[in-house]
Amino acid sequence: MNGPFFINGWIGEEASLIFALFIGITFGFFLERAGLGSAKKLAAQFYGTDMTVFKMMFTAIITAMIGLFWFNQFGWLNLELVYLTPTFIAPQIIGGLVFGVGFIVGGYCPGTSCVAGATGSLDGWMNVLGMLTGILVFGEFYPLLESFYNATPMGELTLTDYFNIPFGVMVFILVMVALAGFWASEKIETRLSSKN
Amino acid sequence: MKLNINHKLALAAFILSVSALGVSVFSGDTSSAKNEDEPQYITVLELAEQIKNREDFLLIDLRSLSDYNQFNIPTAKHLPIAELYDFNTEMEVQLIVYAEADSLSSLAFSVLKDKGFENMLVLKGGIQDWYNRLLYPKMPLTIPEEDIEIANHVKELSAYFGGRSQFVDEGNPLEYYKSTSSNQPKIKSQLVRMGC
Repeated sequence: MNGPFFINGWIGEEASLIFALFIGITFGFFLERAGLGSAKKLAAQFYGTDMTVFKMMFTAIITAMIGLFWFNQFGWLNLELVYLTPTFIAPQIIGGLVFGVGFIVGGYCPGTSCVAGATGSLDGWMNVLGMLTGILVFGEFYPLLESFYNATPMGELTLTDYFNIPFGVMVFILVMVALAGFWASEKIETRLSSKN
Repeated sequence: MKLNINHKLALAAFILSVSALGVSVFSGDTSSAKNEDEPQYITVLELAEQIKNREDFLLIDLRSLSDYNQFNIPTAKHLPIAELYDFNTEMEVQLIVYAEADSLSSLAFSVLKDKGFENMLVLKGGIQDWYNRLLYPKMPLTIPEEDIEIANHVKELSAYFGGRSQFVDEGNPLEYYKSTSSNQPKIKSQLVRMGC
């Protein structure tokens, strides 16, 4: 029995939805416990006084990456069958810029706005409302945006494919970058916090 | 020196990433995320020809029963991936498998290969390409002279299976048919397209 469970037919659609619900609740719980339901903490990332977001994101990335590498090595998971969001360079750069502006203005990313909303935060709910309105507007204007939405497709691209280096080497490089980043972020935090 | 929990986790990540590097370098692995067995593909045009000519092969639909009942390729037998592990037939029978796109078919290819089947092919692009490229193929408004033969061939096969061509005013959709089964790029994801 190996993964992905749904694609291999080990679990059906209903069971996969239950798994998704469980993972979603756990994800939200730990986001909130890490303090990411607070707009002040999230915005502090951009001013360099609190690097929790950077540390949390990079920790999640390297934890998942190391896990996937070893699961694949042991034959527990077939990485070929894991869904990857396809890359569309131009629309994703624009989307990233819009996302960044929204993040610093609103104080939340989509996931953390839901977390903040769940804790009763009014600005969290306003962000959720804005997100849903944005989705609705995008949907209504999709015919006009479709050609740009599908522009510059690069397929399901990974760093290992793009640079043509072994997966294990990429794991090593990114973990080293992350550890160096953690060390540097603590230094930046200490320096900027003492200035303020 | 006493290590706190963050230091211990960082050390664990370091050890696991160095091990990943070692595994990749010493196993001579160029990209461990890749399967060793690359499936051999058949294009929708080649399959359509084979069905039309009543050639001897077994066509297997790997999708769910409801998807199969809703729409399938003529002569296909339904066999979900979970039952493939117990599947048996004469070894010399030519097997052709298809799913929604290519991911599941690649898994089926590995499973059947492990069971000793050598004579098998994966339908390139799965049911999506059958529907969008064979049943309802797109044609340019003005067909270039060098593409007239291939356009007529596609139209003829489309009509044979009860479909019809649609004319579009963007690029030359006939380029798709110029790729043979051996030089087509691999489509991995379940593409969300209209139809079916």
